[in-house]
Order: sequence, then structure tokens, then C-alpha cells
Amino acid sequence: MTAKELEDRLRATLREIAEAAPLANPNQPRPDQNAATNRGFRFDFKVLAVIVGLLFVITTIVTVGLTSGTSPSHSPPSSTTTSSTPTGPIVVPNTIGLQTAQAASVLQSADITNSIDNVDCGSSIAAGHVVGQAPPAGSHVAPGSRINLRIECP
Amino acid sequence: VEPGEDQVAEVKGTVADPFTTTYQAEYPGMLRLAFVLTGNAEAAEDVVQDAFALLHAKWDRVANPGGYLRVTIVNLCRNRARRRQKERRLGEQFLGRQLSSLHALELADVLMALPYRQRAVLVLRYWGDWSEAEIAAALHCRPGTVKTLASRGLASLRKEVGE
Repeated sequence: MTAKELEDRLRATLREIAEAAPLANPNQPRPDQNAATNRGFRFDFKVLAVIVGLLFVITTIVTVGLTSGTSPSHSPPSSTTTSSTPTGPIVVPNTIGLQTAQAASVLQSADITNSIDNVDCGSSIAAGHVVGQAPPAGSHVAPGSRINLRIECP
Repeated sequence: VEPGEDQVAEVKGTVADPFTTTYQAEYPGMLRLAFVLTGNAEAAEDVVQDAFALLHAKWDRVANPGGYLRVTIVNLCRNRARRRQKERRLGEQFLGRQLSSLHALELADVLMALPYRQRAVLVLRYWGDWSEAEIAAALHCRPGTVKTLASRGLASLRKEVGE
């Protein structure tokens, strides 16, 4: 293998590792424009697939209910309404730099529970303030989701 | 840093402050950088969060947030590599599930096993397209050392995967 071949292979490998970075989950912050076309498309495609899947299930249930002709009036509609409880995604607010109590109330008002998972020392943020959060601000989560906060130690 | 009222107002969803804008614009690139350096998803997320926290604390004094974040991430990943040797193995497991080609996987294994500074030089030079001077500044070494680290790293790769 020549030096050039090794370098090219290294470049390709690094690109592939970078592509495997954990950005593909829906909890990522979505960058506004450029460079994000790939992931944006994939995300939209997933949502589309879920919607199409749900529609398919609903129509199947309804048509099966109608064609069997046993009870077209009551039971099928009730089962479909219970199966599709909409959980709109919540945008995670930024809490970095806030006091712990302040951060908790900000999250609470956004219908997110928080937990303090560990304590950091030595960052230049004041004691008792939030140093980091996961998932990060701008992520989309389901209502009632849990956010981990890291707090600067006293 | 005092969290001001304006920040709380922003959280409730009206104005995007410059920090949040920077955060959203820089997060994906910085996460990729940290991930290539650590090979570990969790570690990469932690490091990027810490880097943004440090940036937040120095926001008024930092002229170039992107540059500050890059250098901070390179150094935080280095501290992490020093502290936690076992992450190397976790990283390999994670990469094993993620990488499609056997070719890439083989090279990634060797790459993640390299000493941190050698790996960092290869990542920054061949993936980040950083200049030698930028790499030397981030790693706190001389440009000559960058050259040495790169050729040592490449030699190890060649020894392990070269035909």
C-alpha cells in the first residue's frame, strides 16, 4: 500500500466514523439551514413512514369492521381513538447557566422532569448553577421526559 | 455568570440569543469532532456539553466561538483519554455496530487504539483539514512534534492494516 493509498483509506474511514456520530437520533438539535439536508430528510422520512403506517392500521381496522358487518356502529371507532394518543414533541429549553431551582422550574413549565445526575467541579460556572444538560437545548422530546442536569459543585 | 432575566425570557420561546444560535449551528460539527476523537457516543456528548458550558462562561471574552469550541474539545477529549483507558474498548464495540464496511472497521480499531495525540493529529489533519500550526496550538506542542506524531500514527496504521 502506498502512502497515498493509506491516507485515502484513513480519510474514508474518518468520514465514515463521523457519519456514525450519534446525531441520527431524534433528540438532536436541528440546525437551521445548510449541511443538514441529509439528516433532515431522513428525519422527515421517518415521520412520514409512521404516519403512513398509522393510517394503514386505522383503515385496515375500519374496513375489517365494515366488511365483517357485525357491528359497524360502535366498537371499531372506539378502539382506533384509544390507539392514537398524540404526543406532540416538546422543544427542550436551555438551562445552562441557570440556578438549579430556576432550571427545574423552567423545565417543569415545559412539561419536562429533571434529574441531577452528577456534579461537576472546576468549570467556570458559579456553584449551584447548571453546567450541562442532556439532551441538549433545542432537542425534541415527548412530554414528561426526563432531562439530566449537571450542576457545578459548591 | 449570573443568569439574567432575559435568558429566562428567551427560554420561554421568543428571541434566540447569540449563544443559542451558536449552539444550534455548531453542535453537529462539534459532536462529530468529539466522536471521531473518542469513538464513544456518550463521551462525545459529554465533552461537547462541557465545551459549550465553558464557552458560555467566557462568552463575552471569546472572539471566535467556533475556534474556541474546537480547541476546547480537542483538549477535553485528551483529558478524557488520559482518565479512562477502558473507553477504548467501549468505543470499539460501538463502532463495530455502526460502521458498514469491514475495511473501515479494521482501520477504526487500530485508530482508536493509538495514543491520543497520534489519533488527534490524524483526525485533525485528515478529517478536520486543520493546518499544522492549528494542530500544534491545540495540542500545545511544536509543529515538528505534529509531524512526528502523524508519521508515527501512520506507521502504526500501516503495520496493522497494510498488505
